Amino acid sequence: MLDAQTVEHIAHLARIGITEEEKSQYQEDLTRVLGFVDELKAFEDVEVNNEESSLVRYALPRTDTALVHDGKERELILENMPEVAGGALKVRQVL
Amino acid sequence: MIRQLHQQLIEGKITAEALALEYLSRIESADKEIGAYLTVFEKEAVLAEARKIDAKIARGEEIDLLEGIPGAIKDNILVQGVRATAGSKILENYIAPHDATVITRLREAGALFLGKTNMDEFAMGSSTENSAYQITKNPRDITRVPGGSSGGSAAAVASQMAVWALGSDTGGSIRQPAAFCGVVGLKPTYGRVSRSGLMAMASSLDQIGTFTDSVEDAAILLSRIAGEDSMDNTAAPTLTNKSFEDGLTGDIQGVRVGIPEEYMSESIDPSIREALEVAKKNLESLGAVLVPVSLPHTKMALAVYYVLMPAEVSSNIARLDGIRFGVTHTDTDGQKSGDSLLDTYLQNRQHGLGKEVKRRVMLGTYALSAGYYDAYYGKADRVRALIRQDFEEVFKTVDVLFTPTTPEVAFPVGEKTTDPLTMYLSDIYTVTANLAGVPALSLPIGDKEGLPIGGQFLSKWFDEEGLLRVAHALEQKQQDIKKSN
Repeated sequence: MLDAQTVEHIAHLARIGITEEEKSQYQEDLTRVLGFVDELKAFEDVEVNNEESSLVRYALPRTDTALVHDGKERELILENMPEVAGGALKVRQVL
Repeated sequence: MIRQLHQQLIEGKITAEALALEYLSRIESADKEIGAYLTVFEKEAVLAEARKIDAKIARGEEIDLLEGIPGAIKDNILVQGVRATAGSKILENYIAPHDATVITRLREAGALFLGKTNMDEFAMGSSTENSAYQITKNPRDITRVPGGSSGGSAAAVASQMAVWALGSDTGGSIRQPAAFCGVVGLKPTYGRVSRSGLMAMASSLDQIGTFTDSVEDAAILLSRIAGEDSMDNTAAPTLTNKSFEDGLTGDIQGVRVGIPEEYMSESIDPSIREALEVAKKNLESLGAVLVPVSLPHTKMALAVYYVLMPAEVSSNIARLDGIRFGVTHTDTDGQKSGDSLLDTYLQNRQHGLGKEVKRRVMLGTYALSAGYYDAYYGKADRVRALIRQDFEEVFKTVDVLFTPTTPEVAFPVGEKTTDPLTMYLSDIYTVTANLAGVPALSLPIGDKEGLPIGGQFLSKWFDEEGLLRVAHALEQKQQDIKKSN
């Protein structure tokens, strides 16, 4: 069973607040799913040619040009922001 | 169905306005019970678009096959100026600032949009019960789930509340609901359709695809949404000018259909097994050659998926912090929560994200954390390459593969909500296509006491043409049999 401290640590890394009740629920749920995926650990390790195993068959570069956006798009982006000051996103003090 | 409607439009037997009105009226009367739509577009705006097409027809101008044909869009695909929640509370006020590439392309083709469909939150789930807004019911039996995560799109097409619908498929989210609702669900090759404007869940697995009434309709839609895009550098150029719908010849004489033994486990519902046997006989009668094959790493697929997918989810969902994207949580006294920036993040995500999303973010964070990365992510990534190699090997000897889409038919609402692992097993036959990146399609092949059964075809990377041709031939054969009975 995943211990409570580990769950707390993961929740912190994931930036998710959790209650005491949720903590024990996560202990249970995560342990079950990790138990399921643990069959992978038993699988003998293999060397795979990374280039060949690459999933992306196409990775087309594009020219580095500035895209012109219309005013409507800008307006909609600003409207989605929780707080706007001077046409920019206002956030809390970081430092 | 699209071709027939198109014919009626150009012959003046119906107008695009009347067609749109018919669908909007059906949504108004039927969707209270089904719950397929989260947003239905304003009637006057939809009808105004339709009238433009009618005017074009009246002027004798040529119209595209898809022009004036009404469809629905999964709520994780952006339509400019329209709310896009992806089934999450954290995006309840989010208005899409631009169109997804697929939407731009469908607009160019003249397709009509009716609304946005319900889904499991950020596409995480297999029953559409994880939506923060409503549970969608299966139109074939409203006590059962429509499947997920694109359950709203599947239900809309199955109940004639849309001619077609777009969905997204990360581990089966198009094919499984298509099977449960009795419609055609197509997940194209990874890279066939641009993902720009699709809210990312697991970027190496996500693909936009279609729900339709027939294989031909899927081909018509795919021809219009496929192709390269400067906004998604994994989107591949379409190499031919030919439309996918032109490849549906009905001729599958000599086509080699692989039957993978790993997809016929003991736990399959006997009715599904039976339907598959009937479909196999029908394929043979069309001249196809059935070949028993093996994809030995299939048994590892679900474990690989439940490491890689949450890992990618945890990275993609990081932007949903209530500041860059999403609602800032407010306490009961109306004050913005959190003493520090960290507290703000913790609380916004605690209150804004649903149970299953948080569970997967936690899992992914764990799998990527120091000391565990190689044991989980590294290992899973290597086994994924082996799964892909299985497909490379098998496609040297066969043209397509044929399997069940799901091990069971649509299950009752509430049956699997308490145990995440049981729900995860719903994807057992569908995740491999996403892990390998190959295209796959679910076709209705029968039913169990009225509950639809889906058969799944898979083909080589970028061979949607072959995939669609085989599925179309079987579909036609099934219809001929139905008619003669």
